[in-house]
Amino acid sequence: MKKFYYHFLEVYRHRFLIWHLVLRDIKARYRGSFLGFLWTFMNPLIQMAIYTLVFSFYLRINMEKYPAFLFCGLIPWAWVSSSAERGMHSIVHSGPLVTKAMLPPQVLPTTMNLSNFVNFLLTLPLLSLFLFLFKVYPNINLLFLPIVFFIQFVMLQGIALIVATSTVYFRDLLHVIPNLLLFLFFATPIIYPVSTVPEKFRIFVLLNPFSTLILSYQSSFFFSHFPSLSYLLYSGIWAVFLLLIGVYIFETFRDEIPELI
Amino acid sequence: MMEAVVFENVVKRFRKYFLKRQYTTLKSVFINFLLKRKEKTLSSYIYAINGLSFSVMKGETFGIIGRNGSGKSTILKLIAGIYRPDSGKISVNGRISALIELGAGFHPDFTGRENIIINGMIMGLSKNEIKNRFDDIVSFAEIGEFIDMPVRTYSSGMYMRLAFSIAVNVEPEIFLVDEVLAVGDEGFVKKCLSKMEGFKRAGKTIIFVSHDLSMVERFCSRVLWIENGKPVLMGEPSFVVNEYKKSFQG
Repeated sequence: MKKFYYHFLEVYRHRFLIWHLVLRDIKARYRGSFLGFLWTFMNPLIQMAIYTLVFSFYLRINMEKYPAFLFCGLIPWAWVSSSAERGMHSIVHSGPLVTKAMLPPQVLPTTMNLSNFVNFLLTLPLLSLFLFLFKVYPNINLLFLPIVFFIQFVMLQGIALIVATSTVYFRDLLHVIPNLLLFLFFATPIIYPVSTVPEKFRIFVLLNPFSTLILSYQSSFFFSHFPSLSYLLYSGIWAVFLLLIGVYIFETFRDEIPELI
Repeated sequence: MMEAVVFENVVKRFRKYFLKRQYTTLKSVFINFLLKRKEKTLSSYIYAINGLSFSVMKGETFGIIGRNGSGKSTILKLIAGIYRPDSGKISVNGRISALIELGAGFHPDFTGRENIIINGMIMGLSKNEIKNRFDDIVSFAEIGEFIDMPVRTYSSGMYMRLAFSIAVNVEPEIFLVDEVLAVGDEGFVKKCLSKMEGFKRAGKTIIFVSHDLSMVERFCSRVLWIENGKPVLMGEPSFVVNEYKKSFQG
């Protein structure tokens, strides 16, 4: 219990530093130009173009406004994958900040996840524009989105802590995690609507906490109905669970972290 | 008088395995598991600090000497809180600023300016406090326009100057210095020494690790000599330094 308390206390103590690092990270990302900002949007856009080509023309998923549907899943997924991938580098590549400057290492995954969150928020107006072009008009259900954001943030914070700590010990995770993410990407109904999954397999899709999360996004953005409460609850429980596991793993090994990087 | 730093029977050990290989891989764990091979080395240790007790009073200038690998830098890292002891107790009273192993905690890709702000914040200064000191830090470091370039582009001298400048300008109560004066040019070393003299007069605690024995003798009020993580001798500087020198003549 004490462990958890101190973990969050240290994060709180360094809130100004974290905020400064987040701003710095975002500035670095958008430095110099509009183009910097464009890139965060370009990646999902290019992905969307590829999947639209493959699934609307080659494999033929029969769905109206398919590109808009895709986008509703790809944008939040971009946050998932970048928090996991940048998360695993966050401590390993922090260098002397941890080994010499007494920076508590949990600051780094937190900073990175926050910065990805801000980045995600910045892409939302563009997502809205895109939905608008496809004549998908969101309604009052958008008001529930902050809850979904919060769940996702907590979930990714846990994941970032887990991968950041474990890569300190097992450097070959740097090769394993991207593959795991690719698997998760296809196991999550992002490029296909969950209704196309045969009934008997659907349970496997829904057991994945990312599925329930992405489905919540899709229902508020695309289908304009209320996100299923049971889905939200399921993702929420996973989020808390992952965060606790993350803090536990991190705190158990934190004393050895400065010795290993 | 009050103690600034107290070590009580401190032990710090490192896993040999980590020292040798730096890190392990999932692959090797998996293979070892399949072959039922035990990672024996995981449980063998090197004792960097082995039962060390001493205390440093407030306002003291405390020197630590010893051969390479005797545990000097580990002591500083323990004081700074970067490492935690495996057993024993360490208590520290006062704000620390540390220059460990030739440098500060700089992120190589950040500019000098950003590193100043981040380091200041890690040491617990507010943004305003950092702003107020910013010009002092830059002018003391004498790095000019490099302040807006990533620190990876710095020469080792510039790097050290900026590190030293930050460390002394955050107004620490306890100042840890490890061999930093080795890479500066003569002018800068002089400046550093006069700054440290100023600290001494202001009653701040300095813990000083160096191989420059004459400087240790001149500068410190008490000296600890350690060997293999254990204290050999502690006391009056000229006496300890002399004994230490004798040990080399075998």
